[in-house]
Amino acid sequence: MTTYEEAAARLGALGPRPDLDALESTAATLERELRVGDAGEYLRFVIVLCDKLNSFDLGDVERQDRLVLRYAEQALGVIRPQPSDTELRLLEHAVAPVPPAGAESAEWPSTRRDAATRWLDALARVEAEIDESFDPEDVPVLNLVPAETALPAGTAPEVVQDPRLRREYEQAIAENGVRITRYGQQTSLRRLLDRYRPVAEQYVVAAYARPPEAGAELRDLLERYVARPEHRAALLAAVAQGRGGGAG
Amino acid sequence: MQSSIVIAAHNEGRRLSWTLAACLDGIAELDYEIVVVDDASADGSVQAAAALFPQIRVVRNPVRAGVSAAKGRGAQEARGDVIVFLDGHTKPTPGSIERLVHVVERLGRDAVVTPQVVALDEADWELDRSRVGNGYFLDLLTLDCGWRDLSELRPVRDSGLQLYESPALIGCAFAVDRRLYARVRGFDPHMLSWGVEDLDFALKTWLLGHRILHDPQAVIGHRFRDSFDDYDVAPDHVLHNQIRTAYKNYGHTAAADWMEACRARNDESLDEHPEGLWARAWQLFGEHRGSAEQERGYLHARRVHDEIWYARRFGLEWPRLAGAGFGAAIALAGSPGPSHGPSGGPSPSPSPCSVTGITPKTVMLPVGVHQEFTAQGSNLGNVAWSTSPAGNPATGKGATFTTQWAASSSPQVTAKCGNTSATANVTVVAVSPVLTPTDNFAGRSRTRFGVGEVVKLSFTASPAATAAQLGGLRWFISSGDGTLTGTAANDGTGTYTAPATAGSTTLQLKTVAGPAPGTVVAFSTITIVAPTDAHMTQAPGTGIAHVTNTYSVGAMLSIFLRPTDVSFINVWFGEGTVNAVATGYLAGLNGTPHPPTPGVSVPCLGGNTATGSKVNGTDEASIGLHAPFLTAPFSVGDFLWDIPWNYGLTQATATTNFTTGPQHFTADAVGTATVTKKDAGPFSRAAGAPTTGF
Repeated sequence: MTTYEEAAARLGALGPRPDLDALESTAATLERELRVGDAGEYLRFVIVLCDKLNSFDLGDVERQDRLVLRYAEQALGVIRPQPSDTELRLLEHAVAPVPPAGAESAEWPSTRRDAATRWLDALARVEAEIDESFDPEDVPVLNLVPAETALPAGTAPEVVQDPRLRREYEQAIAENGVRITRYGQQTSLRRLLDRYRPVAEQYVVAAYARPPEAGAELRDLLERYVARPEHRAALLAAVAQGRGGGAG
Repeated sequence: MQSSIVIAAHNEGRRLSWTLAACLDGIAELDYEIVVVDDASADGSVQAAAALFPQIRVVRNPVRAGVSAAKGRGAQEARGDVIVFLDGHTKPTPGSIERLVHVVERLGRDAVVTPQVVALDEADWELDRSRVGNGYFLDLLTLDCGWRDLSELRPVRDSGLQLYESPALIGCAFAVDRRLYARVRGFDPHMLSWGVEDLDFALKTWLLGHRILHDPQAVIGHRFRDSFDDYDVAPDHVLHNQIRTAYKNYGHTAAADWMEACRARNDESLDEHPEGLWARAWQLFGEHRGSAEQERGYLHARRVHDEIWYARRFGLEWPRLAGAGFGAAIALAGSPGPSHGPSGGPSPSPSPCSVTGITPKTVMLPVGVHQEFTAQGSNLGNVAWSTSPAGNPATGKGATFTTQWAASSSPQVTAKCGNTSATANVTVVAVSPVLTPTDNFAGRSRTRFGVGEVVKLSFTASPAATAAQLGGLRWFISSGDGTLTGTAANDGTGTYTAPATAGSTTLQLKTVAGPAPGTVVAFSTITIVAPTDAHMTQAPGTGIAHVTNTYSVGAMLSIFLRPTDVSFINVWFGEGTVNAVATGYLAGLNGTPHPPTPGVSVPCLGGNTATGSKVNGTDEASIGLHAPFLTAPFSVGDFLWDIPWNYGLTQATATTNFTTGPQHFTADAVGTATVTKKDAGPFSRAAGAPTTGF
C-alpha cells in the first residue's frame, strides 16, 4: 500500500520543476494507488499535488489548471465528509475562477450555483464547529505543577512517587492537553474562517454579479447557509453593487 | 573592349570600396574596365577606393553635376561595347555582371537588361533575400515607380533565355549596349541633382522601339535608404526632372493634361520658395527648356510608340486615347500614393510601399514585454519603423516590427514607407508587485515573512491598468518553496503561503496571454524566516509566588518568538524533553525529566516589532510552592533544565527545534530562591519573605 510519504517522495524525485508529462503520469499512478488507501493520506497527497501544479510554471499553465481542477474535484467527490480544513483547501483548487465577462459558457448558471453552494456549505460547517462559548483570552498553561510536591512545574509524572498523586497529576496533564488541543482547534477554526471566508464571498459576489441575474437563487442559498442576517444583507448588497445597482 | 562598368559616386563613403571589391570578385571571365565618376565627393571616398583598386579609372566632376549628368559622363568616358551602370552602393553577386553583359550580347545588343535587385543589409553588407525586386513599373500620370513581381511581368523567351519585359528600370544596376544607349540619347545631362533620370531613360527606350528585359539570373544587391543620408535632394529638382520627362516623351495633349494634373498635386509652398513647389520647378524647367525642346524633337522624330501604346502595353489607366483629357487626369490623381514622387524620396526598396495602418493601433503593455506591430497596406517589405520615445530596438525595417520599452511611457510607433505612414499609440505600463501579509502589523518587513505566513499577492500599474488589459497576469514561484492559490483567474492576484522551512523564494508575475505570454513583468524575492530565538517576560498582572520560610519561588511567563519583523501567527510552539542537572541543595532533583509536549503545542499570535510573536500560552516556572516544602537547613544549590523549544506549522508537528529555554533555579546559603527562564528574571525570594501568590 502506497503511503503519503512514499507518494510525496516520488513526486519530489521528479525535481522542483518537473516535466509536466512526467508529473502527470506519476501523479495519475500515485492517485490511483492512494485512493484505495487511507483517506487522510490520499487527501494530503492531492493537496500537495494541486499546490505544486498551481504554484509553478511548468510550461503549460492551461493544462496545469485542468489537472488541478480534475484532481481536486476527484478528491472532493471520493471522500465525504471531509475534515473542514481539507475541504476548504481542496475547494480553493476545485472551483474554477469566475470567467471573464462575456466568456460564460452555457453551463455557467449551474456551475455558479454548484460552486457557491459548495463554498457556503463548507463555511457553514466550519462555523458550526466553532464553540461560541470558547474564550480565546483563557489561554492554556504550558506546564503544570504536581500537587503536594515541591517539584518544579513541568516535571514528568513518573517522578512523583506517591501513586495517587502521580495519577492525579497524570490526569491533570491529560486534561490540560485536551484543553490545549481544544484551544488549538478553536483557534484554527477561526483562522480558517478568516482565511477562506473572503475567498468564498469574493467568489459568490463576483459570480452572482454576473449575468444571468439569479437573485432568488442567491437569497435561497444565503438563507440556507449563512446564519447571520447582517451577513446575508452585506453579501446581497455587494452583489447588487457589482451588478451596477443599489443594495435594494 | 567588351564592357565598361560605370559607377557614378557622390559621397558614398566606404560603400564605394565595397562595391568595387564585389565587382572585382566575380568578373574574372570578362574583358572590362571600371569607370568611377566622382561627382564632387567631399568625403574622400573615391580617392580611398582608387588607392585600394588602382585598376579603376576615375573621372572627376569638380562641381556636382547630379546623378544623371554624372552617369552620362561615365558613359561618355566608357570604352566598352556594353555599359553596365552600377550605383556606388551595390554588391553584384559573382558572375552577375558577366551574365548581364552576355545577355546583352546574346540579344543582339538591342535590349536593355536589368538584374534582380536584392536589398543589402546595411549592418553586414549581405543580401537580404527576403526583399527581392524584379521588374520595375512606371506610372505615366504621376511618374511614380516601384517594383513588380515576376508574376506581373510579361515573360519573353528570346535567344534561349527566359526573360521578362520590364516597363521601366532602376538606375542602380542595368546593362546596355553603348550604341543603344546613344540612340535613346542616354541619361539626360540636364536633369537636376537626383531622380527620374532612370525613368526617363526607360521610357525613351520603349518609345523608341527597344525593350527592357529583366533577367532574374543576374543578382545584384543594392543598399536602399529610408532617407538621403549622404546628400540632400531638393523636391523642386525632382519635380523639375518629372516635368522634363513628361515634356520630352509625351504628345502635346497628354503632356498638357499631365502638367495640369501635376500642378494641382504640387501647389504647396516651399520655405525657400514661397511662390510654391510647382512654380519653382516650372521656373527651373524654363531655364533648361531649350535642351528639353531639342531632345523632345529628337525623340518624337524617331519614336515608334507613343505614351498611349506604353500605357496599354503595361496596363496603365492613363493616358487613354479616348478620354485622356484633363478631367480624367484629375480623377486619376488620387490613385495610390507615390513612392517616388516629387517630394524626392530615395529609390523605393524592391517592394513599393503603401502603409495604411498598424496593427495593433492602440495597445497597452507592461514594461519589458515585446510587442509585435504589423504594418497594413501593400508591398510592405521596406517599411521603416521608428519609436518615440525610443523602444529597444528603436528602429526596424520590414512588415513587422517588435520592440519593448524599459520604463512607463506613452510612446508612438510609426511605420513609414515612401510618402505613407501610420502611427500606433502605446501605453507602457510599469507593473510593481504588491505583497501584503495577512498579519500586516506596523513596522513589519515586506520582504521577510515567517514560516507558514499567508501573503496576499497583487500588483500596481502605472499608469493604471487591469491585468486583463495587460493580457492577463499570473503569479508563479520561480525559485524556492511555498504554495500559491487563487491565481487561476489570471487577474494578477493570489495567495502565497510560506513553507515550513526557512529559505529564499522568488515570486514572479507573468503575462499569460497577449504579445509575449510568459514574460515576467514583476517579481519579488523574499526571505522565509523560521523562529531563531525567543524572548520571555513576566506575564502582565502576575506576581512572584513564594511560601514563607521555605525555599520556593515561581513566576508566570510569556514567550515571544523572534525575529520580530515577521509574523509567526501560523506557528505552533512546544517544549521538548530534557533531564535536569542539579547540585548542592537541589541535588535531589538531579535527573528529573521535563517531558515533551507533542500534541499539546500552542498557537502563536500575530507579530509585533517590539516583542515578537507571542506564544498564546502561559508558562509557569516554579519550584517548592507546594508541601512538602523545601526547608532549612539551606545551602547553595543549582538546578537547570535546558529545555528544547520547538516549532511547527500544525499542533501535532511542533517538533522542529530552534532554541532552548533554559529554566534555572538557584539556592543560596540562607535559602534565597531564584529562578530565571530564558531571558526572564532573575526572580528571587528570600526564604523569610512573606507568602505570596501569582
